[in-house]
Amino acid sequence: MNEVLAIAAAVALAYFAGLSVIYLLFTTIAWRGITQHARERNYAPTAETLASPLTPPITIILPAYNEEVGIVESVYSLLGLHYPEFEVVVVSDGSTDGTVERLRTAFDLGRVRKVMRASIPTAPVVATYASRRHPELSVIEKENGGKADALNCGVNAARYPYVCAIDADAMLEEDALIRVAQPMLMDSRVAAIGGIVRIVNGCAVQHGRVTAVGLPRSRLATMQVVEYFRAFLVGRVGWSRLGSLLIISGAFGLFRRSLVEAVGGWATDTVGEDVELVIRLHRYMRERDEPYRVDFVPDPVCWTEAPEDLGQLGRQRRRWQRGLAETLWRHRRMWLNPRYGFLGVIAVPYFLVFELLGPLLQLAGYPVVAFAFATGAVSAGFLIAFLSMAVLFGVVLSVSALALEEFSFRRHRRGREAARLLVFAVLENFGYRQLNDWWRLRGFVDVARRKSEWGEMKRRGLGYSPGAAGSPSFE
Amino acid sequence: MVAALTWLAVGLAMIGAFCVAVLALRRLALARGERKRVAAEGRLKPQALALLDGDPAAVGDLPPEDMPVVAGLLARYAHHLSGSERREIAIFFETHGGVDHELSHLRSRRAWRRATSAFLLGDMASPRAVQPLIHALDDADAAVRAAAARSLGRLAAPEAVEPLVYAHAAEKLPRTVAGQALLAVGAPALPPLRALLEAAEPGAREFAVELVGLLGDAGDSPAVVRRLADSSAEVRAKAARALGRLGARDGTAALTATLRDRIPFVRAAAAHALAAVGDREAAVPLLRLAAHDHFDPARAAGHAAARLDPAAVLRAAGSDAAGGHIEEAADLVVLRLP
Repeated sequence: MNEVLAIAAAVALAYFAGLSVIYLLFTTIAWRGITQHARERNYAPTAETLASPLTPPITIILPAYNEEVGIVESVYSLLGLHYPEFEVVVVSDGSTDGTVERLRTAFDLGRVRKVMRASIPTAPVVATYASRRHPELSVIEKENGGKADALNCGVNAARYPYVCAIDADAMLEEDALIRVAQPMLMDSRVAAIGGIVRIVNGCAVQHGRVTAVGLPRSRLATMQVVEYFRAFLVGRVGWSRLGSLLIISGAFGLFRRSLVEAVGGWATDTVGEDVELVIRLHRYMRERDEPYRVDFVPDPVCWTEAPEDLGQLGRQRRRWQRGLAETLWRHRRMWLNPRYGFLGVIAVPYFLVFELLGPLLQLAGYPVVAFAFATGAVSAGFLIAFLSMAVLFGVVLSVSALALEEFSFRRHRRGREAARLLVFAVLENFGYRQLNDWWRLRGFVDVARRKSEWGEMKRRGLGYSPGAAGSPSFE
Repeated sequence: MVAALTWLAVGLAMIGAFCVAVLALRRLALARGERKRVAAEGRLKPQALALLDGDPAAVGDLPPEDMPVVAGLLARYAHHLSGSERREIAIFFETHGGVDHELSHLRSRRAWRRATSAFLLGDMASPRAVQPLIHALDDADAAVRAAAARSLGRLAAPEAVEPLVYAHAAEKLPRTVAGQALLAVGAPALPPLRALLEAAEPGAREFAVELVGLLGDAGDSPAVVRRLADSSAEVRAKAARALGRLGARDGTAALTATLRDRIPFVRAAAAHALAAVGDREAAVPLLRLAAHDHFDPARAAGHAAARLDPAAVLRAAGSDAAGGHIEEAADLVVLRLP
């Protein structure tokens, strides 16, 4: 028995050591990436891009399902974005509430027999509308087929060579589009770009714009603010710098339309359609040996609401885990496959071992360690030292993510807020992380039960759909 | 093992505490620095404005520690100024060593330093920076090249036109950046751009014709019309778009002929251009294209026809042979009727 426990302890230590090395490596890479990006902002040709008639136009696709509460505000905020030329295509995915009616009244819509490409098959389109007052706005009403299907419908309707997919509840900052488009303007090989997603809870919002950045009152949401810093400022910047970014948040991503069409659009048979599309794009380009880049830009901000109750947060995390499991299984051919370079040999296995199986291994560690202690296989000293180290390591990672934010974008200007974030960077290691692991473990059960629905979303004042932001785990 | 873990935990605790201390100190330092900067800018603004009004003595006897603040103000003003004010700014930076300082950094080993200097030189308004910036268009780093292009535009240097066009054609500069620099140069860029319409490199011809369309006038249309017969489809498409921007009616016949080009995106560009030129005669061939062509040219043709002759589009939409694109165009006509 003691031998088994010793092996289990060794596995736990090896796992923890591996994870620590990777996290430290990523934190270092992210520091480099973000400081470089902060410097580049000083000489980026943003103003020139904004003024130029040569800047490529973009189609913004807004899939909406029963978003009557906030859809008008969302569309107004998109129409006010700073970008030389763009159109907004709202796709109502079989909404059963007043989503289309609200749009029709607010934007003076009229029915138009819009011709759409048949590049990607979708559920049937019921009606298409154009606005009398905003020629750049069109609305498509289609039968319900899910978010991915609505996005594909938007791609079929898009006029422009780049498509920006955003959630109906997400709010983009005025210059978010111009900033997220910079890599695409500087390098024609760019296939897709993600922008940072931040949590809007606690911020002052007016007419679909964040007018003052603040922290949520809810402790659960504040934990998620810290979590998002870690995920976006460390994880995504790190993977992007290594040329292996696998996740572009479903809330805000820019894609080359021709490529999305070439790979068949967003997959409609998974709840992780955002990560699945990015992996498929990687595969497509690598299997054809075509040069390309998938980029992440850490300052074009998309604001989205975080769930403030455990039930919704749990459902969100289970869904993310399910999406990740489905996607990794679908692309199992990439596992440790040198044909896909760093992506196949390092990135995908990392996601498999540390993101997908991580919760299982971490939660299994607690009873094993407790049992080992109870049977005397490990001493009290070992137990305390190991647990202290694990917690402190989590604290250091979270604090370094806060430091990254502080040294680069510094959106939380008040000292009191910075102090609160520091406190939560410590607190999240006691309970919140373990709870997250538990939800993600339950995600496995959902996979086994072949659960396929998204789960009911509770709508709030601004038409938010909590949980649509894409996984902020350390990816 | 226990001792090693304990030491690791202690180390991590110290790193965490160190991070927190750094964050707190940085917050205090930033707040203090910001307060000082705002105060200094408020104090020195009158002197900077006096300099722009032609009184260099206003900043002549300032203490050295105030100079960076004045330089920052002037560089910011330079974004929005032209003429004599920019000359005053150039003299300030030349006499106080700002230009030499940044020129020396253009040779720095660090790419970000070179890019920063290339960017700042554009706001220093000094013509002395033009040649070094043209050299910087060949820099190994894309950000340096982009910053140099932007500054050459700010300096409105006609001698930079050809290097900018060729840098874009060689894929060293993105279209938006090179194009915006050339547009910033303005009318003086036209003579070299016209000459580049006959360049051997298709990429150079394509970019030149696009820029002539944006900067030129109706007198440029014969040269642009010739490019509609170019061997490169990209050049033909850009020439069509350029004719639309020039709005030259003498281009209508050539554009109408281009509706029969074998490449769909050239036909789509010709349709867009015909709408911009505004000759109603083109509505008939456009409607033909809208009824029978591939998606993109047909769509462009339907919309163009609707702009030129809405009544004809409404009539065509009533016929059984009208395709979806004509119906869509007709619906938009009805929708936007006053």
